[in-house]
Amino acid sequence: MTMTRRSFIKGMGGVLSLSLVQLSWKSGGLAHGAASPTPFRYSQISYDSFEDVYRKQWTWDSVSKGTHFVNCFYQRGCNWNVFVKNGIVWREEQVGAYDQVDPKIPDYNPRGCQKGACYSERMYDESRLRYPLKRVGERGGGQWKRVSWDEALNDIADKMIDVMVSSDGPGSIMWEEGAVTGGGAGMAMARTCLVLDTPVLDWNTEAGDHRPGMGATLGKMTFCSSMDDVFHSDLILIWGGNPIYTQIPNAHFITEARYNGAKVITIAPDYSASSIHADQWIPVKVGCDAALGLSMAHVMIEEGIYNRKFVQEQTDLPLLVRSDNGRFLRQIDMQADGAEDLFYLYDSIGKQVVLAPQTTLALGKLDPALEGEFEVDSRSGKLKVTPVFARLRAHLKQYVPEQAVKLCGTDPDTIRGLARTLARARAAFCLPQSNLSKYYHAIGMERAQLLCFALAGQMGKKGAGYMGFAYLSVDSVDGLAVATGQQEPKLALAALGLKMGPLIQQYMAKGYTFEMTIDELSRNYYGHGAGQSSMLWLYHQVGMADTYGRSAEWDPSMKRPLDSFMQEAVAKGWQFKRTHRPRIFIEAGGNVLRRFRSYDKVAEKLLPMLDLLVTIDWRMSNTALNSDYVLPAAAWYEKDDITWVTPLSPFSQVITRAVEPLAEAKPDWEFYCLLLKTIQRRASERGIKEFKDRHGLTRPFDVYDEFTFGGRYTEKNAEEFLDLVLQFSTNVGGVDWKKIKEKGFQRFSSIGNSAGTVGNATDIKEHETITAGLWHTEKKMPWPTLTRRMQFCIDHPFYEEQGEVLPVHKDPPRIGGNYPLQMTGGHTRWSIHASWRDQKYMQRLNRGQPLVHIGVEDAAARHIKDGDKVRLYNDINSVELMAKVVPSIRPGQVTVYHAWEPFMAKGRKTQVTLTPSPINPLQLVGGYFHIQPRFAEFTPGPSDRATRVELEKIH
Amino acid sequence: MKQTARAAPIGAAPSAPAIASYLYGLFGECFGYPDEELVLAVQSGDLRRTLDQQLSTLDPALTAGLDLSGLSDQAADLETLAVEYTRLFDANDRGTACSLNGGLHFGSQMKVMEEAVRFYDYFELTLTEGNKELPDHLSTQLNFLHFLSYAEADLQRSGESPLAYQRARRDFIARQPGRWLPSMAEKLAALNAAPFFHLLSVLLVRLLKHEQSRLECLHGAASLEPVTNYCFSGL
Repeated sequence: MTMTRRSFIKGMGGVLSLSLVQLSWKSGGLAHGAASPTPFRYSQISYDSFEDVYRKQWTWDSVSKGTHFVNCFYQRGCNWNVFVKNGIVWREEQVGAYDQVDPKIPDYNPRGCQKGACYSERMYDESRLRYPLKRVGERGGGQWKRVSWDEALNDIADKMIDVMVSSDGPGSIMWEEGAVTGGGAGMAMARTCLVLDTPVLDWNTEAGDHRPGMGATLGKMTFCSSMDDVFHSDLILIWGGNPIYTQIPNAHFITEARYNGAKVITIAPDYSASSIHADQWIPVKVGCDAALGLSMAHVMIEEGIYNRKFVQEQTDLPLLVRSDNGRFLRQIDMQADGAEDLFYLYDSIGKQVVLAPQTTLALGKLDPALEGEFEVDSRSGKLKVTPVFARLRAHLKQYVPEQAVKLCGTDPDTIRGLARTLARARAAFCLPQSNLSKYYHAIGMERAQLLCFALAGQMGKKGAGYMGFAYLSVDSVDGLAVATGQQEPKLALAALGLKMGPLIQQYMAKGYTFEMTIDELSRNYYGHGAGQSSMLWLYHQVGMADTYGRSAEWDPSMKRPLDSFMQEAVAKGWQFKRTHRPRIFIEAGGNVLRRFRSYDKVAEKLLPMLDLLVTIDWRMSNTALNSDYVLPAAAWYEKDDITWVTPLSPFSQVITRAVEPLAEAKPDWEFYCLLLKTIQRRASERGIKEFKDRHGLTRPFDVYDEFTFGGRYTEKNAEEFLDLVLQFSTNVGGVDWKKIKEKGFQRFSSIGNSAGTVGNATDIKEHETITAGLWHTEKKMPWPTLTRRMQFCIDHPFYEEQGEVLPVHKDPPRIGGNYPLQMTGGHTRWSIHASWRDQKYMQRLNRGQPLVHIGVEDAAARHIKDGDKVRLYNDINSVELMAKVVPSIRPGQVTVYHAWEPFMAKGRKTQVTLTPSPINPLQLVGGYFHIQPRFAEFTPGPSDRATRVELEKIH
Repeated sequence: MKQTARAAPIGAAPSAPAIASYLYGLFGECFGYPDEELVLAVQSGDLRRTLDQQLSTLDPALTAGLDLSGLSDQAADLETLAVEYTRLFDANDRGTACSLNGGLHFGSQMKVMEEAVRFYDYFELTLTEGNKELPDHLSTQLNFLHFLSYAEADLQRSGESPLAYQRARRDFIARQPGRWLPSMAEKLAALNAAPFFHLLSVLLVRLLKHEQSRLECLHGAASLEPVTNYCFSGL
């Protein structure tokens, strides 16, 4: 008999019954003589004391390979063994099986950090979501009830269908994936958005990882060498990043490089963890790195120690600009049918103005002048022109070290010494990470750094370079994400290729490089609305213009309000303004109500607009807390997938289904399949056959059939899909799923054909470290910019209006009000974003609660002692934290490290609520060849660094 | 997933282990997610009567001084009970407010789970395939106690020695739920849990204490050497 709850409750009426529910016989048979190979007999067991149960040796049922599908970014990509018994992951251990790339170079073993080492416990702790939950009562009230997956999916699907067939259409359903982008099955969201024609938030710029100064200068943000390449360096500048603190698995390469003779210099306002391990620490005022960089550039030029050949060949500095307006001399200035993107230089040998080569960086016999003024006969008469270099030289005179010290606080002799060291280094490498890109004047700061490295010729050679956005992934996911139709993937991809063919031919006819062609395809796709810039969505659709648009209040260089720039940018098609009002928001990988700057104001505005907010996650986040449905996702040891990584650790890593998902959790691939299956079924049941997409085209509701390539790759065969991903990828050496699942990783064999990775512009060789940019320096492939060179002159109207055609320093604006302290931040050592912020072991390693670091002098002046409760405030908001008084923070600075969950803070308010994050108008620039919106780049970013605050003790 | 059951007559006067086995099963069900059956039992008063009767039969002190009215409610409804259960045990504003997993109340969860698995394994049991809960979950541990008590009653009935099961139950209670359930009951009180869940936890704590006391009278005190004194076997 089978006992039911009711029979237990009613009592057994004198019947002794055994009901095994959570437990069952190991043999699988029944007790006492029931049909079973090994019937259990109670009397055969002896037991004296609890030690008896410890006598048997502990053994593992299986050991699987795994990693963590979380956005560790620069340090990500670690191979772990995952130990399993009884369907439970008990521990993980670093594998240490990476092959040595070059016997003379240190290897990658082992990789991992303390967060990864406790994930097996994290996935079973209090935060873990186990059952689908439906909100009861007010949003954010913390009251729920369990529902079945079917109930949840039916309701969500019905609401989505309602919106899709309404006048709002699918554009009102917004998805958010955080950093789950790419990977294998992880690209399911992109494919879901394809078949539903729903937009996904393009969050990278809003997060501040978009490297806008790099984009303006190099035409791309993705540009990264392997971390072992620093072993070739003799100078390492830690300038912006804090790798000893935040790149745990990579930091050893820096130390090893020191043993190989490299000098390490840390440039930072605070005496950071990375400063401790440096040969020299160079302090700089908060947000004033541009002044330091431009002063160094001045020294290199004036002392003639810059790399002339590199400057002539790789940069726009020899290109001629008009003396009358400071703009490039373009071919169209010279002839009526001239091009907008052909430029001139003055050849010192031929003593004439000639067109600069556009399809190669090779100069041949040309010797471009860097100085002088020349006259040309233009369509409008005689024009005086001069090389950018000459203008730059004059421009940089304002940054003579004795003046620069007043701006950046760095001693003039130190500036000169640093400039000389950089210029004379055999191979210098810069680790800025994505810190400076979160400043209001990020563009100027990054341009100044790049100028130094370009003048010194420290790009595109072994051990030299500037670490940009780090990204590397199996390249077939791009195509598989956007291949339409229900045919088998090979045919779908072929059809996609045919569709793109004419465009590719058109770009090739223009002389575009392979990289530029992929970039242009990416821009083209983006323009059709696949992605939607978070900041612009928040500004336009959510109503955050009253916060993010306050730039002119604090930026003295603005002569008009930000909204005026915004309207102009939208009117001219430089940036996209979508019009769909938000009705459904589905969070599947990120945590926007922690991450959005001023998330409290976003919540106030956004939540009332939404018919439905759904979060799928493995833990209770602040976004989940405010959701209508919370769906339990499988943990990273409970599903199969291929993660995206970075060139720093150039190994494609896998996560594998070591155990079945806990309780009712589901892998995200399965979630997407089931949701689309439910949408398709419910539409059919409701007699709804079609919907209109955002372009007004009618589409059938066969969304599941299309997503699954006609039912070929469904919720039931995720592993076969991953095998397909590898089969179609060109850059992982032909490995298949079975093999990579067993090994756990595979070194990339090339950067591949992906828009996200092509910017690395280099070949990957089996026995060599990876050096970004060799296509440019060795193969002379043009940079993907308007001028096809590293471009330091941006003659865009907004740059002109803001006085930033050439790189400049501007003091950080007083964002948040006229307060004496500048608040900085950075990734924490004790969590990856918020995923471990409330994990008990990590909390024991730090103070475990929202914390502000303050220097000794500032603390004393405010009578604040270590451990005091303090109020951090400005004109925007006020939050309560604990003070940590440290000698490493300079006067005038406070630091709050990253990613406290709001529910860990009083009133659910963290320091993020103090940051109005005004948009710099330069980040609205578009219509300038390489400066145009595309995924993850060239849309506005945040500006939370150096927000002004004050601190007071709470008595 | 009710997997395996066996029923046999035990006579008009059930033995203490038989009652205990039944009660462990019943408490296990009561700490499961509420459903219509449970609500009916609450509405009708069956649950209260059954618990009162069975616990009092074991020892009248188990219910002494307690107002058990919170276990019955004619107006009980599934939604209210389910929402309260979820608030307490599933998800709150910081995840689970009061976990039903013992390792999250006492000691290292991995070590607590390891020892539980060792107990199950010793008695040739394993976690049911597709089981939704971990080895330190209250429902899993109550299922094990239900099994041990059942075995004791069964062996007693057939005139065989129940020693192994008595000692194992004594140790398992002392080292596992007996250690952490009081802490869980305190948390429920702090969370202003509905009387239904609070009472259940108080009654279960009493039952475990009663059982432990009875078994220690028979076989001496259980060793409380902490699980953490034993190196995690996985390391």
